[in-house]
Amino acid sequence: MRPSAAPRLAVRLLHWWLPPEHREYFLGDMEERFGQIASGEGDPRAAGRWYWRQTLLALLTRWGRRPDLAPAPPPPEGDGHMVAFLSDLRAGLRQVRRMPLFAGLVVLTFALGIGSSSAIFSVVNPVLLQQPPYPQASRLALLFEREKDGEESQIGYLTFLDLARESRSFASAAAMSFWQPILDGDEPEVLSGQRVTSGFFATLGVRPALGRDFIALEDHDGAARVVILSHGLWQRRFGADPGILGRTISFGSTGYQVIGVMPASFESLLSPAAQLWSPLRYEISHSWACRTCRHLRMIARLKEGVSSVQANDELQRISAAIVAEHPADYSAPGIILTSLHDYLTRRTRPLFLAVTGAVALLLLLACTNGANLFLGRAVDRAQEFAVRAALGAGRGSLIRQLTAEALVLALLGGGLGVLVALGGVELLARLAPATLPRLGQVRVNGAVLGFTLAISGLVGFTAGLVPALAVGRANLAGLIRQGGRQVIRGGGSGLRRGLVAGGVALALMLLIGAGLLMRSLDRLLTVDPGFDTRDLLTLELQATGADDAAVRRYYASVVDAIRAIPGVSHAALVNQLLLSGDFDAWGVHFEARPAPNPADDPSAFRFAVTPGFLTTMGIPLLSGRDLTEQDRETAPLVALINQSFARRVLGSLDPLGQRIKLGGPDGPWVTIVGVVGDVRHQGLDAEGEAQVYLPSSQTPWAHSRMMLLVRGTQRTAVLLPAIRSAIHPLDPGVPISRVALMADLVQATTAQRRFALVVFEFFALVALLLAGAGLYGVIAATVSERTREIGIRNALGASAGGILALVLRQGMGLTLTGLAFGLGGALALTRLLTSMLYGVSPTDPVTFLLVAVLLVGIALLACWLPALRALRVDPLEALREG
Amino acid sequence: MLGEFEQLVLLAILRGGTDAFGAGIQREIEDHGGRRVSLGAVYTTLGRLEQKGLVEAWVGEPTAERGGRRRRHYRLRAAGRRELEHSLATLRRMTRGLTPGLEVP
Repeated sequence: MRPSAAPRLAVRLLHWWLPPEHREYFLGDMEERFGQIASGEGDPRAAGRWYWRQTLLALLTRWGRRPDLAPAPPPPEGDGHMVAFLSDLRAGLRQVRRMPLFAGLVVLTFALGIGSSSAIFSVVNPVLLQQPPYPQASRLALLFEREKDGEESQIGYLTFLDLARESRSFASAAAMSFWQPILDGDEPEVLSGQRVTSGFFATLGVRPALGRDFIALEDHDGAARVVILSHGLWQRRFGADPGILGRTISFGSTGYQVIGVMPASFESLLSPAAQLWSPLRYEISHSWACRTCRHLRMIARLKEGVSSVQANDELQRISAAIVAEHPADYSAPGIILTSLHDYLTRRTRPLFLAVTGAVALLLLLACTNGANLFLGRAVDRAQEFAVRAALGAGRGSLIRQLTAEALVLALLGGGLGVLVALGGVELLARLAPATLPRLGQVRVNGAVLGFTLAISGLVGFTAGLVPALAVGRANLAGLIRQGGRQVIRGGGSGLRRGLVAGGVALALMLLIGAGLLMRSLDRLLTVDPGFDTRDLLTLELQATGADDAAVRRYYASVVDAIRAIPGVSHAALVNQLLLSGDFDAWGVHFEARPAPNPADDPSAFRFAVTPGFLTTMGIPLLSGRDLTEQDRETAPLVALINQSFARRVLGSLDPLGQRIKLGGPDGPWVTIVGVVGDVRHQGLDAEGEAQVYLPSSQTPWAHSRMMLLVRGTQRTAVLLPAIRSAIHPLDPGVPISRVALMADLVQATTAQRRFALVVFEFFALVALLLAGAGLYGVIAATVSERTREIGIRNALGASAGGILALVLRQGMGLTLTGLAFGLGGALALTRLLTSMLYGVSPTDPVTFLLVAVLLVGIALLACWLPALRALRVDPLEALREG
Repeated sequence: MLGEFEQLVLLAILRGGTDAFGAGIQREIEDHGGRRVSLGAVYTTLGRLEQKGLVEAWVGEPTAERGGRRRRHYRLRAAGRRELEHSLATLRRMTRGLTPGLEVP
């Protein structure tokens, strides 16, 4: 029997340190020499010292092909920290190579979080964050009149002139409206454009690349007609011909001289589809230039040094003066000033705030999981840290090393994340609602890469620092004495559990968001829009007739020709299409319920329709009669009104026989002859809208632009060629555009919600995965830590159920803690989703419950595998190992 | 040309006879070379010499004082002996005629 044995910790250290192929003879040599020294010198402590010295020297000389486990060199003077940090980064890279599975897991986790954030950022940045691409765009603002109810309304031409003349705040201002000219030719084409006052481009701060801008003279009705083309239109229709300037092109038989072409870089954000611009040419004598003719948008550039608050104050004063002078034309004084940036982003802002919130949660979750994985590693590497501490590595250097390793993995994750972002951007751009401004600018560019790098750094730093601090807190001197593992485990496990519970909470919030959006979309798609959307074909025609009579004759012939096509059961025309974004609302003046001021008349969507519209659309007639062919131009004027509107204004009065005027008190009386069911026009979620239907033969002027509606006895889409060839011979100059199936248009109205839903669903899925993995990791680690305890329990006859309960109780404890926090967080955060929800409360108990159940199910699954392993623990094995 | 420590290790193997092994070599160098070396350094060098084909190793029997572990024995291969002789000869040639304190006999 030898007097003493070799120091146990040093033996274990060497054993763990050495590659298996070197262990036996090296440890054998050590023990042999130790014995010789111990018996030779008679002092077992000297032999122990020798053993330790040899052990540490072996580590120091990097023997055993683990060169990176040598202590970090002491930082040199000056910027030594940076040098040391760089060497830590290199060490981090070596770690990655040595633990491919761990590193792969962390990198993948980070890549998902960072890549998703980058993809969302690449959409949010140009769409929401960046100023519009005009010089000093922050000085650009849109102006609206304020209605009595605080709503904004577009502006009348005279009001525009007054504001532009009186205000001292503007460097320049312009008014604009839509323009849909027909480009004549063998194949006439409907183009989208804008009619603008001459200061339009100057206000935006852009100039044509070719030719010149509009001049003030061209604002007048008598001036020569001129047009400026977009770069795209110039290339597409005119072969980028530089000789285009001065040429006359014909729109609906009217010649326009081309005076300019905009640069390719010009983005028309105020009218994204616009391809050409022409002067507005309003005169104050025009009836459509009146103060109540509120159909223009006004844009202004604030002078240098004028704040929007100052401008706003001044505009309110001017508005009050205008209203005092013309009280009958305004319901209330007031101008609403909105910065161009706010105006362009306000429709998509709720969507992107929600999506950004979702991705922030996901990123946080990736951080949490990363930190968790690192903490797990740190526990496993406790002995390594003990050695480093024994060799003189300070707390700071350990923290620095762990952070550097996390940073390396985060940067790798960021690199992979760029690929995720590239794919994500592609997908997002395809899914994005068409109403999204600047969709063309969404791409992975320098700004996105910079963002990715910054986020990677942040993620790496956070995920590394948390476990590093936990390790740093541990008593490093005690690590060696106590054999390493216990010390860190005590400090780290609380944190680890906290991180896992936090992950569950974050996943829950994302899942609830996704659940609410899903239920909303479900509800919305089951909404009855009030008409039959199935198998209804729609297309737009733009008649070219010289006068109203010609236009009406043309449209009458179209309906006849379509009805003659075999397979067509119904056909009708209407001036604005339901649920397609068309917007034509007029004030309605009721004889029985006159408003004190005409400006206070309720407004309703005004549909000019041909007979048969109701049956074609499938809108029910509730009382009275439908419009018929007998309601000619010369017959008494009649109208239909929808039920909600009639009830709202007339109350218990019978609507039939009531008389109304449209568009102010000057028009003729129109008699209500029928009440029809409500339809949804502005969106599936638009309830109780007001609608009035007039025979198109009785409108004061003929609408040149009409939507044709066709319903077939079979699938209507197959009738399209027949419809085209029936329309074409009637007037080859009339272009057919906006061909669509009604069902697709209805789908399109939900595009924004769908977009949000897909993003949330994806994020929620990833979150579920990450949370499950985190839970699995921590439970598996506990089971292996408690192998001995479980073995003893087994040996003492604990039932399988008891062992299972032991493991599951811990997992469920974490899950339920996470659920509690997640539910709290969700209650606080889902309110931000409110504008995206329909028919579901942000705290919908069903969603909350279902999601919680789903998460508990996943948690059970994540605990199941470690629990099974616990059941298989062999008592003898466990005891021997301990 | 061999490094200085490689020469020491090869010489220690020769001194140890047929059953030279890591700790024995370490002890030879410490006792006769008068120099403290670590076992890790010895094995690092042995590994390098083995790679160069100068020494070969074989595994012996487990013994009680080694905790039941086996020794790894080393002996010089012909190339090792040649290389050592060449190294020492070079050293001798280079020191010939120098002051007595520097001359290698």
